[in-house]
Amino acid sequence: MAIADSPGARRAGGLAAVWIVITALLAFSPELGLAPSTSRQLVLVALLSLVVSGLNLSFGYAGELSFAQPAMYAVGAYTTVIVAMRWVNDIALVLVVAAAAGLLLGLVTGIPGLRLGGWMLAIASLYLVLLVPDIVSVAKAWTGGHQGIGGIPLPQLFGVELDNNGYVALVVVVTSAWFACFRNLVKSRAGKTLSVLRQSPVLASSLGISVFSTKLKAYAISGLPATMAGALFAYLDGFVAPDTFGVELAIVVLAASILGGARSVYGVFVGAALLQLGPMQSNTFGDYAFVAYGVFLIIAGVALQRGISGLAADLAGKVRARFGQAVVRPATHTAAPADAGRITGKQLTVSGISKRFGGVTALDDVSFSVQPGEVVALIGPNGSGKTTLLNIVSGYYRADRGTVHVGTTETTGLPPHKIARAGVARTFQTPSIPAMSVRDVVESARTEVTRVSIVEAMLRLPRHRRVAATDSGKVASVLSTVGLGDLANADAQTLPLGTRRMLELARSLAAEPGVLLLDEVASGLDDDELDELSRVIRAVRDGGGSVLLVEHNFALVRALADRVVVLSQGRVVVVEAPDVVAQHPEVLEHYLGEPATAASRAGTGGK
Amino acid sequence: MIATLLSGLALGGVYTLVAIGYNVVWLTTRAVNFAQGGFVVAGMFVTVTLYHRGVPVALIFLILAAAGAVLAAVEYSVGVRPVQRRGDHAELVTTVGALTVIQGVILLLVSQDVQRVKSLFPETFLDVPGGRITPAELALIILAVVAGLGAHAWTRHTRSGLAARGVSEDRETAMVLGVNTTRFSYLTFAASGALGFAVAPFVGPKVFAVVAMATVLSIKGFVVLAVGGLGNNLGALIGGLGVGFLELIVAWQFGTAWQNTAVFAVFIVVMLVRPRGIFGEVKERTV
Amino acid sequence: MTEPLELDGVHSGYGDLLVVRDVSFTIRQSSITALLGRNGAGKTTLLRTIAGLNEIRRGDIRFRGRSLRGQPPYRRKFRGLGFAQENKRIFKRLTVEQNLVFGLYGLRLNRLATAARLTEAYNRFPVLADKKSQLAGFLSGGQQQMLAISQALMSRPALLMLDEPFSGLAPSIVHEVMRTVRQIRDEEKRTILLVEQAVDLALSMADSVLLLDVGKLVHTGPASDPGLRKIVEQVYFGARL
Repeated sequence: MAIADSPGARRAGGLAAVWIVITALLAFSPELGLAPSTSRQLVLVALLSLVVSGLNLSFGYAGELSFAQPAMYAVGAYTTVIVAMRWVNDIALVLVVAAAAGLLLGLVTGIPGLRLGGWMLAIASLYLVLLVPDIVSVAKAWTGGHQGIGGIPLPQLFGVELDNNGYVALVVVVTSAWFACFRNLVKSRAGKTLSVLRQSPVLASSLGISVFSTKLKAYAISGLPATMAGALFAYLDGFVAPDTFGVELAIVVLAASILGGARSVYGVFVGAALLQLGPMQSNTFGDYAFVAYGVFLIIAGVALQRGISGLAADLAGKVRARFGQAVVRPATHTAAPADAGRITGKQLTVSGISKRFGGVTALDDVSFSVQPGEVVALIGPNGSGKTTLLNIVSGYYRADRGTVHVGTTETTGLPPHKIARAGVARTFQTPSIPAMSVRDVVESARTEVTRVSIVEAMLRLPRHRRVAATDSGKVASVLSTVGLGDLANADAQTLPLGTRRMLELARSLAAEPGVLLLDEVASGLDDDELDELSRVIRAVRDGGGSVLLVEHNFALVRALADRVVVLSQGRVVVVEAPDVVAQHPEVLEHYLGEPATAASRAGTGGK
Repeated sequence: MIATLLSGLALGGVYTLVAIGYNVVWLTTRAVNFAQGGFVVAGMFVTVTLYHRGVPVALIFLILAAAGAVLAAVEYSVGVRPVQRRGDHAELVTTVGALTVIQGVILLLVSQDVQRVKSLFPETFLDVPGGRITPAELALIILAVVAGLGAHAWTRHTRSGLAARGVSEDRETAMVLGVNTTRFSYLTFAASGALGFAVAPFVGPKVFAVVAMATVLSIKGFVVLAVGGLGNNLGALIGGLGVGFLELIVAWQFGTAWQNTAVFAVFIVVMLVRPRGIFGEVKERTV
Repeated sequence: MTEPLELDGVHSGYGDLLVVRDVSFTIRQSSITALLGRNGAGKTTLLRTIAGLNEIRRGDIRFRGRSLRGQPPYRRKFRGLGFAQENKRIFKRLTVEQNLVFGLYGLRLNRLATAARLTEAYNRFPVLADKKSQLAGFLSGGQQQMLAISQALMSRPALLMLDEPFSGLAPSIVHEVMRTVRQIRDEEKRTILLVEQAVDLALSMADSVLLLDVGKLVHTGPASDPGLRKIVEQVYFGARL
């Protein structure tokens, strides 16, 4: 399928055209007769939108609530004060410096801030806003202190002084350009990555995504629009004072973000416009503004989780359903063609792994291996150490002794995302499925397989397009392998449990794993679903994959496994073919736990 | 020097009182109630108003405690309980909302948003080496110490305090053992509201009744709590007094513009070096 | 006389996952009933449903003759239910004695009565008396389990539910705990419902057996039934595919 002719590409072209027309109209609106007072409002809405978009990126998409936007806004404004008044008055230069300062400040505050996370980040960033007046007054010689500083010259662009119309056009163009980048970013795979990260850091790291560095990137970028907005704002009245950048602004920005929908692009304009033209405008309403913001935050926090853009999307969905364009949503999957294609499996070697928790030995000198083209089952009674072992192999626990190799790479002690990048993919006991479409769930596993930089995604450079094409091909083929091809557009979280398990399997396969770890993948499935699952697992094995199956369902183990590793009280009891294991007296005894034999082992285990 | 020390401890006492309010709620609900600073400031405006009307002091305290308890319980039922069941930490947003509402209502109702709160004590000065302090400041230090030790004793020695710690550690087990966790959460919210309002007559003379002070108190109280160790009332006491002292020393040595920055720096450093706070619980053995 | 516990067509689960389906049984007074089944069979969910931590989706549970529907967990305790959950969920940051006193929460006992209950507990497991001022988190696994059982017994419940009380314990401790559980039935005349993974261990002390598989009750009967072990093996290792 040629990309240029796809309906997706055509829709993207149409969107770009609409985008350019609206930008042009707004940019020339003063020339087209917009009153100066109205064009001033236009500028204010644009600036607030820039600031709010930063919060949407860090809070809505990356899931970290930071109140630092007013501080970033202040940094931008004082960049203009210092650069334009003391150095060169060129707005392009000022914007570049402001953007660089924003990125830098984002990185510097993000490193401690994101390590704190949650409540701590929220408070620390609010505190940062509180510090703005103090810092401004400490640097009084540069900033004019508490009273503010006036006399900022009119903006110049490459030596040409901009009049008011020129300034409006510039603000509109900068806003439009940033929003295009913002939209491209969150609608690309990076947006899906952030979404996975926000909903489940554990899942994200199992897909090879580094939780910290991904959040840090998003956080650093989220400071950029606010500093640019601040730089533009300083030119608006030629006057800057610290009280513009207070806690009130932080509340307004949060309210605008939530009102428009914290996880939206266009909702930002709605939220910013409503707050700019509503409470911040009228004097009669002004008295009630604080109460209104507060009540609004409570209502929004309790009831309106996706803001106005969410309401609009729900409404659009209802309208579409009403007029016959309902999204077809079959309840279950179709039968799978049992072919997973060629898979380059890697050997998993576990040697001499031991692990103690407090005084209790969870694993004691456990060794076994899984070869490419082989299914090995790991079974054992409750508390025998299966989950602990799986968590060590995938990096969530650290072994006290012993090594794990994937192929020739030693993965002992690496963090989960690095182990995932070494080729280990896994499923979870309780399927970990974020709220997104089936296709996006599978695609999220591709993040670390084929990498695209943020800039490439923002500017839609050729590599982004190439990778998007390979990804969608791979996703389609994996979905058809597990029989979910028809459900690609369905909402993944609404699928029944069996289908969600198949979807997890599909996601693991999309990562092109060297080793596949399946954690109790059969629990809760009915007989038909079990047949289906066995077929897919066999297809993976026959294609050359290495599969480690942690399972309680012995019937499934019997049907699938080439070898069975039986674990009991942290030790390997036997490694044998399934039929041998089922007859093995020692295994029965470990499973059914004869008290007499348990007592005879007391000599070694007693306290 | 002694004057600076005492004045700093008095300021720190304010933070301690806010931090204890946070703690009580945190224990049973695992929520941080950003509105806590708002309770104190609202209490100050109520106090000023009641003073003007000549209401007897004892009655003022009763009214404050009742108003605070009701307000906090309403906040819990409207803004915290519904979102906690969802588990996405939206109380981060809703309690900021509650703080904003409190500030907004004060702005609507009062004629000036900066008011001086008359002291309960004689408005004289006590001479101490290096300067003088007011009886109100001394009372504030004593109140903070009493409240901190009292709250600490509550969590260590009383049945309800132990129950609160149990709820905090394992809600389900506490329920199985007979604790009505919902009623408990309401009660602790109400207690934190009553505390926040009722300390206002002590806090008022020290910091002035200013609407913007609500946010500052909420932030500083939380910083104290984080530094001292979330859930630990001794930490709240020592952290609070320490932070207040630090502010005054820095202001005295380098000027007032540096005092917030210094506290911020200490906060970040402590959080990075010891994320559980100075008195944070040691990790028990995992079996 | 009404039986201590009767289940009638109980369904229960988490989210869209139905873990317990249509389970009905009755438990006799002063007996030990072992609830067996593979991992994921729904044993823990069933106990949690009886305790009120999971909601009854369909069916009814009658405890000492009265329905438990709509009763929050804390009220079930006051009706005479004791529950030591899986993984020794005591309060690790409280001392041993504080944990025990927590078991009396809401009973409004005076100092004397409280002391009597504590003595009762310390007589059951004397080692706890030596450690009474220690934080529970610093006890060994076996001692934590003893504390969990003692905590559930403080309110002198008519029915005591134990979820995997022997898992992860050293064999000598297993025997001590087993002995005490038998005493609780024989001397204190309490009814016990026990979930245990180690089948033979459970059978050696139980009077009757409930066997759960994939959320359904597949067998009930006396623990002394000589054919029982075969049935259990069938369920655990049976070829169903």
